[in-house]
Amino acid sequence: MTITVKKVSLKRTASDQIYLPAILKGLVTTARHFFKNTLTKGMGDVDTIRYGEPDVNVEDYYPQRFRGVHRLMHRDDGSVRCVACMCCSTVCPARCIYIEAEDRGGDEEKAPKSFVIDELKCVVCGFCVEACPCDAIRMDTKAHMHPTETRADAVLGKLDLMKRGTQSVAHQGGVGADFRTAAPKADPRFEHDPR
Amino acid sequence: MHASFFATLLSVLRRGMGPWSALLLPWVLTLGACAKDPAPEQVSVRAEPGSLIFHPDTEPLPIEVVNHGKRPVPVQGFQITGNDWSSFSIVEPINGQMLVPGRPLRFSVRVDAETFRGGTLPSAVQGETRELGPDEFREGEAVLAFRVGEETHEVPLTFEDPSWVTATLLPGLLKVVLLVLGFIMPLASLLLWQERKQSAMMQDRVGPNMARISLGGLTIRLWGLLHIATDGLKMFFKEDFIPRRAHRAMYTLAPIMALVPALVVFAIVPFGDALCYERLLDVLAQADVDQCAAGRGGTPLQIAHIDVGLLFYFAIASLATWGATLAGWASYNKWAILGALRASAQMISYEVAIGLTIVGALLVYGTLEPHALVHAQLDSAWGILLQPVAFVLFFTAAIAETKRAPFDLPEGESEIVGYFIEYSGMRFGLFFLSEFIEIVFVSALVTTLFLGGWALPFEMFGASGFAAPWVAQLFFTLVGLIIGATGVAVWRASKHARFVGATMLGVGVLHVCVALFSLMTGWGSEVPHVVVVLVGMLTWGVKVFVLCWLQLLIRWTLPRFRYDQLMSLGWKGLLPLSLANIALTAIVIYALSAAGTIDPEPTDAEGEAAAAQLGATP
Amino acid sequence: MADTTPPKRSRSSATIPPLAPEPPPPMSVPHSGPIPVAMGPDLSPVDAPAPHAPNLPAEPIEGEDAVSMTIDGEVVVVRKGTNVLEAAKRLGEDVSHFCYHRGLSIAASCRQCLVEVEGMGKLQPSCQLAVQDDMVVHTKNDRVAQARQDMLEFTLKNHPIDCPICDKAGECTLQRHYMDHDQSLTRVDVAKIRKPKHKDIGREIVLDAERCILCSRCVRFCEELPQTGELTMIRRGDREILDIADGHRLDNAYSINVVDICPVGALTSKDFRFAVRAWELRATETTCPGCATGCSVELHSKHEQAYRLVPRFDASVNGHWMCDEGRYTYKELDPATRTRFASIDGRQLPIAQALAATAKRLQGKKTAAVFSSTATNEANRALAALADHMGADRFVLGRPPGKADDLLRDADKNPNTRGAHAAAGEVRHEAELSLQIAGRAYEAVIFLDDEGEVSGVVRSSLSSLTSVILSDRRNALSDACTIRLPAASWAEHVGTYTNRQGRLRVIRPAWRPEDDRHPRAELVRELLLALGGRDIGTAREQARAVAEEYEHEELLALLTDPQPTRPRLLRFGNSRG
Repeated sequence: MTITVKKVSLKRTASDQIYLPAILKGLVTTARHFFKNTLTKGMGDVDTIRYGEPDVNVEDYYPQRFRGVHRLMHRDDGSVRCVACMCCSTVCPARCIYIEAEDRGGDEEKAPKSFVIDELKCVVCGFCVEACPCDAIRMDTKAHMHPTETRADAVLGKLDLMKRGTQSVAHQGGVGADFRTAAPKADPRFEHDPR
Repeated sequence: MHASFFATLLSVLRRGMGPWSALLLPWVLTLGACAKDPAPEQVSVRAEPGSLIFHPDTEPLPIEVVNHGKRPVPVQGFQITGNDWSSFSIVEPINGQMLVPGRPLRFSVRVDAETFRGGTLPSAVQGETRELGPDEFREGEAVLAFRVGEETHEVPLTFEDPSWVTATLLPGLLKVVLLVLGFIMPLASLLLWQERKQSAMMQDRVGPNMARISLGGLTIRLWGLLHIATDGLKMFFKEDFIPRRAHRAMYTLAPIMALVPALVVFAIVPFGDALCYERLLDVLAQADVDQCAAGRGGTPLQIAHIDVGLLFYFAIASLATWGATLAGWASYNKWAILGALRASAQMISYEVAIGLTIVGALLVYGTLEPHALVHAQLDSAWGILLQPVAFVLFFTAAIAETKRAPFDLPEGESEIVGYFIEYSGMRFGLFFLSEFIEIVFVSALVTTLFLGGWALPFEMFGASGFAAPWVAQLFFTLVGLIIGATGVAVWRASKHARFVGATMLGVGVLHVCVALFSLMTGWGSEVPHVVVVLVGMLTWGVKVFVLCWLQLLIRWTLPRFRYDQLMSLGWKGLLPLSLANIALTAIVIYALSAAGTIDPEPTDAEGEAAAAQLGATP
Repeated sequence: MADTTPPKRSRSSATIPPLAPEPPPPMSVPHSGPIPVAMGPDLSPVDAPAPHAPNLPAEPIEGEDAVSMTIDGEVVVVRKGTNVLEAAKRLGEDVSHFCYHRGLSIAASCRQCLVEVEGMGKLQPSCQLAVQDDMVVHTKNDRVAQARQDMLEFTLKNHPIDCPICDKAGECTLQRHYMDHDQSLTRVDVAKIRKPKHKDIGREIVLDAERCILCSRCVRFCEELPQTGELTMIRRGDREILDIADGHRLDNAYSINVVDICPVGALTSKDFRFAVRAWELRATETTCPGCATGCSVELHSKHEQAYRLVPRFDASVNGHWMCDEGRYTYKELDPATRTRFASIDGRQLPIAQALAATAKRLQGKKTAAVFSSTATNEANRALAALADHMGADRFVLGRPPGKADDLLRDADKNPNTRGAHAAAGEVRHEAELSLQIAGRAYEAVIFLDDEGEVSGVVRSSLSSLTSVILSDRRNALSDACTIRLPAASWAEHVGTYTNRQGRLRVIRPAWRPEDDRHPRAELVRELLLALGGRDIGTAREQARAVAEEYEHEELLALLTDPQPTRPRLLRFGNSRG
């Protein structure tokens, strides 16, 4: 492989110094965009999603990984999946999650007594979802937080969050926990990296 | 000639519009078959101006008899008849001379104003009369008649003594309404929206589009054009905030000080040649229009006819600096006053460059009066051709004068706190509006100084209409095609815009129809005066609008200067260049006049040449 | 091998004579007569050595006891009899271990601390291996690393890995070792052994046998420190579990120590269970105010709320341990009962106005100054200055005596009895205070602290005289007083106690006192100034004077530069246990 060195002169030429050619070039570029977007069908290169237009459903445009309002998932018996491990509230850069733990009873032991998210503080980074070891918190609702009359209305409690949630198909506690009751073959898909 | 013209047109259409051209084909063929070459009349003699109006202080008025035909004819039988025939007299009579095409015969008519002094006038009370005062004149009229062959031509001679109201106030109000309310304010408001929409289009965004009116199921959106109204409403209903320690009087005065100069300078801008309001439907010659422009029987389409108009502009425009400075000082805000300092320094620096660039144009055209300046451009060539450097310099400096990007250091929207940081509501709105009015003014001034004012290019449209019928046909065809094609594009762009698109297409088709009409009848060179005036004003408006668009384009294309770069551009760039421009212009003019190529006092050299060619003697 | 039986300590169990029950108040006795001055408690220093710690850290040494050896290519000289693990720690090599603890005997059961010794074929447990001259040890080579990883894999084989619900997560030794030495995925595809979970085994302790890694630290603790021996290992192999003996419960007075020494979350404290995650806590090195022993502790708090006290190693006072009773002293710091603003006759006032009003009321009145054996030396000294200025009679009030034992607990439940009496000088007997107040002998009384028991009769009398209390929380006594000044609690300021050994114990602030709360020494100083007394200096200056008097280098450094001793986030404090 040969490396070729292209020498570029940094000296300002006369046309650089009078600015006009470059300015004209720029004007032509912007004018091209202007005319293209103004006169062609569908507004040319404009990719804006017309949020708020009556016939536009923004959810159609959102990608799969779009992060919307949080929700809390359910167990098979309808109780909350969350075990109040505080990973989400710890990792939350906005400190918008407040959890109080209680004894659930049974071998799962721990459950959130209160699970509060202040959606006004939330920066929608999705770290809480990443941190959750139980698939308990998700942001896949594709819903924006709606404007509220008061600030307090934007603070969602456990029941509000669970109302948006559904039963999760993920195995509670991951595959490893399953070894305690059954002995399936190791799942090759389980490539959880502890780091 | 016509066949080849149509063939070319068709190929252009086919290339530009593809299958659409097939639809036009039968039209074109039919009309091509119907087309006739209008036979020019052999003799067409006119007196220019077609009517003479005298005022008490009028000097002897020149009048020309012009042959627009192709054959020389004798003119004779000059006489003055009518009620007050004795008060008028012909100076240097030309009875019995041969009138050669292209070589008009010139003489003058003098009035003895003293004969109209005294006597009675109908009073305001019905049926009564009153004695005239010592300085009043009664009206009088006569007819100047002459014969060309068997045909008798009559030129009405009128003596009138208009009052201040009829001579100054009413025309002034009319022009203020026409210009300020009819053009500047709508355009400035439009620019409020256009700036946002145009920038959006340039940056692949949507821009303002949500304002709409719903009337019983019909929703009018017009690309968010109604944002103009919503913005205005918003500004009126916002809190009118005055900082506690601000100087209330000065704080209130500042936006007015910014707005008023921006409006007042429009007084010198000619937005048309002249309006002869007594002969709106006649076909007038340039001499008639000139007479109206002098205020006899009409009014120049320029609010204030000031001999040193451009100096007036400098005087008033400097006052706009007060608005900015006062706003910054009166706000009691350290950032505001820093912004005001930047604004005043910048405006003063660039005014120097503006003044010096105009000197070049002054040297070439020999006048500072904008109306005369436009005429001088029409007589020679547009300023952009004779003074291209001055055009660039002036446009640059004028943009800097409006304090907008790339020169928006006094107040940089979201980035730089400016002199009106404390203003809100309609006070802020006034600053905002005056900024856009300044844009319009810069465009108007550039149009006047460098782009031939109200005139269409290539002298294609004069006082009596198009230079020739084929010019009219070409013009209407091209304009019609452009408007029509734009209409089609607009129709296709958005379903909300179909009404507008269809309207534009209709207008375009109308233009093409006019072209076809002209093609068939030979119409075009004789247009009623009112249409001429409207076309002139429309032309001026389109030029101004395009320049406004260009300014917005520049504002959203170029990045902002640093303040030191701004200053060095002004003082080390524009100022020396404008000085060099003055020197170069002066040298060229001196050299050309020394070589005899140009005459400092131009005469009708072409007419002389034509007469010599025909071998006729005066 | 280390001595597993703690030496029998001999000390007089009657250091403070049991106070006589409150005599019936002689209401008829007028105040005119001289009030008899009662003798204070016997305040001679007590010789109370810390619990025996068999494995002390290696110290540099010279002489014939010195043993020179090579660890990872570096020569280290330590005392003869030191184990290799401690010797390696001297070099900064932290040999991973589960079952070894400095305060306990050595079991060498976890096999996590295996090191390679040249000349010995098999890897050796470094905790059990005494140093020898010219020994060459490798703690970091591949063989040792592999052994550690293998041992961790064994340990994790039946561990439930329920870190999300485990209270130990964040300060767990197993987590730390996994992150340091293993970090591999599980290869086990057989079912894990089920064992009892959340089993209530005592007053304070919950056992999760699945999480237990069978290091037997807790068993050894119960055998060696409280010598009660409730815990034991039953069954064998991978069915082996920790359990209590039939009919017994883990109810000894030091039971929560097993939670601290448990390297995993097998033993958890009921009080701390699910309360907060360890990594959210901040640790403040301070002193337990629960009794005259003055154990070194860490106060763990979050957002100005305390969650637990854990012992901090102090060779001279408490070793590695502390009692269950002392752990609950943090409950005094409950934010719900804090006194936040000054109140006079039930009306809330800004502190400056309240102090001025208090001084005005106290002016010229016959006053009783009640010192407190729960307040700091600085506060008591400041009150002494005030009492001097006002000519007040002096009393010392404190908590009533409680249970004692030979290990750490003292019958005197006040942290600063010695300091308070030293500051007060000659005092009247505590019992007389009630008598005099009920008998209207004083027009005003100043309580330095709200601890101490007074009868209902006295409390009702307090409302009729100018009774000032410097209170950090609401209780019966502080509510009975007419003037309540908000004082900073022991978790909010720098101060000193003098414990039963005569040692200076330092308390440090875990958070700033919020609202109008100020250290008692500051409040007394302001009162003194308002009454026209001399300036005795701010609380800090007084603490400095105390530190200079005792030549307490640590406190001096703390007062000079508080930065290194600020509360430290446990998230970065690594694991305990």
